[in-house]
Parts: sequence; C-alpha cells; structure tokens
Amino acid sequence: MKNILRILSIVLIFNTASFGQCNGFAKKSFSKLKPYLNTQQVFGTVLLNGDKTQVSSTFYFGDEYRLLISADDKLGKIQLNVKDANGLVVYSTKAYGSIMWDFNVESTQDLTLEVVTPEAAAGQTTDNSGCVAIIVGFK
Amino acid sequence: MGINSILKVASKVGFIMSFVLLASCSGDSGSDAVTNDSIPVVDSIPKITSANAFYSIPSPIQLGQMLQRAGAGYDKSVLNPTDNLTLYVSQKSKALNLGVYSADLSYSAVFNQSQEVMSFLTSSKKLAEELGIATSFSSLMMERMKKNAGNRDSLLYIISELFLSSNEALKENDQSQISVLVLAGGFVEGMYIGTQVAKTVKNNKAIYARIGEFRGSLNNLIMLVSTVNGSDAYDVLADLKKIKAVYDESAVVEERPVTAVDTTKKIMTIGGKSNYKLSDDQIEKITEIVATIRAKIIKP
Repeated sequence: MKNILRILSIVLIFNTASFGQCNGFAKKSFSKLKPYLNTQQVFGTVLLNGDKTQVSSTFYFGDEYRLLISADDKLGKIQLNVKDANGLVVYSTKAYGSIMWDFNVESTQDLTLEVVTPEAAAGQTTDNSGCVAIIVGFK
Repeated sequence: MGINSILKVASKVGFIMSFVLLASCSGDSGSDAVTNDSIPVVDSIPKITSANAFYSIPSPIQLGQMLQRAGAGYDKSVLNPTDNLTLYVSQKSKALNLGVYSADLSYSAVFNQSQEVMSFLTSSKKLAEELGIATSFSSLMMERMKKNAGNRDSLLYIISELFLSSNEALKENDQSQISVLVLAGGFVEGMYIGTQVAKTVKNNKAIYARIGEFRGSLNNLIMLVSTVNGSDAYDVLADLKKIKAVYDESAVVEERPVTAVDTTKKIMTIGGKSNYKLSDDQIEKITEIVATIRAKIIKP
C-alpha cells in the first residue's frame, strides 16, 4: 500500500507539472494551421503508451476543417479514429508520428476524434509518457 | 497487476487529483466554498475517468461566419453596448462578458465593421486586464489590429490568435473555470445574435437551420461547463440546460456517415445525412430563453 501511495504521489506531481508543458507543446504546431483559423481551443494532455484521448465536436456543413495532431516522439506512432454520434468508427487512419488531415462534412455531424497511442514496444519495461495535442482549424 | 497497469491506473488517478487541485486552487472565494469542495468528490468521478475527453465548441468567428453564409446581416443594435462595461464587477461577470464582447467583436469583424471592432476590442482588453490576462492584449497585438483594421482576413486571423492566447493564458494561470465561462459567454452571444438577426431577415430559413444545428455544440458546451466546479458554473449550466430542454423536444435524425478518403493528399469527406430541424414553437422558445439568459449576463 505504501508503494502504491508513493507511485500516486509521484504521478500527481508529474501530471500537475505536465498541464503547462502540453499547452506549450501544442503551440508549436500552430504555424501548420494556416490558412485555416483556430477554433480558439487547444486540447493538450499527457498520455502513456496504450492510452487514448478524444475531442467531441460538431462539424458543420459548409465549413472546411484542418485537423492537426502532434505527439511526443517517445510515444511512437499515433492513430486517429473518427467516430460518429453513436460511437461507431467511421474511419481509422494508419499510425503516424503526427497527423494533419483536411476534411469536410456533407451534412452537419456530431463526431468524436479519438487519438490512440501504441502499446509499449516488446522489451520495454515501463510505458513511456508524453504530450499529445489536438488542434482543429476551420475556414 | 503489473507495474505498467499500476502506472496507468496511477496516472489516471493523478489526472483526477490534478483536476481537483486545479479546480480547488482556482475556485471563487466566498461563502459557497464549502459547497464547492463537497460536491466534486462524488460528482467528478465519472467525468474524470475521461480526464482525456475534451469538448469543442465553435469559436465566435466561426459562429459569425456561419450566420453570414446563412444570409444574416449586420445589426449593431443587438450587440452589448460597451457602456455596460462598468457593470461587470465579479469574476464570473467579467469572464462571461469577455466572451460576449469577443463574440460581438468577431461578428463585427466578419462583417468588416472596423470601427465597432476597435470599440469591442477596447472593452475586451479592459476585461482581460481585470482577469489577469493583459499580456494577450499586448500593445503589439493592439497595434496589429489597428494596422489591419481594413483587412478582414488578417483581422479574423489576429482575433482568433488573440482569443486563443487569452484562453490558454487563463488555463496556464490555473483559471480553467474562467476560460470555460468566457467560452460560454461567447456561445450564448452567438446564439443571441443569430436568433435576433433572424427576426429581421425575410428569408431566414437558413439561419434557423443553423440555429438548429447548434444543438450538438450546445451539448458539448454543457459537457465542458459541467467539468467546472463552483456555483458560478452551476448557474450557467442550469441556464444552458434550459435551452437544451427545448432542443430535446425533437429528435435528431442522423444517417451513419460514409467516409471518402484521399490518403495521398490526406483529405477526408464525411458523408451522411442529418436533420436538426426545429419547429416554429421551438424556435420561438429558444429565442426567448436565449434572450433571457443573455440579458442576465449583460445586466448582472
């Protein structure tokens, strides 16, 4: 029990510090968004190997979107799943170091963008952790 | 349980505790502090299991552009007069009205009304300073705005940078709850502008269709506000749920999307059909409720 509490304390400190780090991490990607405008929200978080994060959003017919997803190199190649309003995957990308996709919708849709990090490599004794940032642009 | 599994669980618990800490550090001071602290223990667990789940809402610029494309015109009379600035004393009021002015500023910029843009910019700067995020409205940024006053595209780009930077500054200052209130104020103002301007446009079907489509974004905003602790957020949440209740009177019809992808160019088109149509009765109720909520925000 003492060991678990020790781990929790370490992780708590690590995570609290990481919030600021991930905000900074996300900002590095902004130049790639042009000529799209940012939506005034950035989604940054710390993930471990085999973890996931997601952004729920309504995508509007008539708008064009650019999706930028950056991940810390330590995490390996990330994958994007696009899910519909019922949580069903409508498209999965291959695994990439970072993701930049342009997209549009033929009718207004509630979608969830899910980003998955790879499981730890064989022989890796602990999971790596790192920032993942998701930015959506529109025009 | 292996060390990796323990670390994953510990990490999630760490996130929960981080959120609770951030919320408690940045919560409003006042008599409701005990209530605020007592609620999250039970209430936050299901939310934070998804510490990594985020909710996106359209920016005020996006809302303004959507209304313009749907046939809305520019009507200064529906915007929040800058004289009201002196009414905003509490943090909640400053945050919500920074959102309101950001929407008025964006709407004015979309319609290339440079004089109003500068006026709402000055009001936004004042509230931002009082919220401790003056650096976002630096003299350099203000100069860029003035210099590009006649260039719509540049102006929209600078405004989106400005409010993104304000939002991030609030989060970095452990004021996430304030940043959520700014977003909420902006969204309510966007809905208010849409519902009011629609009344003055002869062919307003497309505008009302857009307002119908705001349903999903409203739900996302509700999810976002519900992650914030404190009586200020509960109050806003209760108001937003009143709008949601009217939307929920009708069902959304959505067909499963089909995706066409160009993997070389990395371009995706998500097909499918959806119907967010509102009845006349729903439109009337939404217009009225949004006006009441917005009046409460701008005249606290």
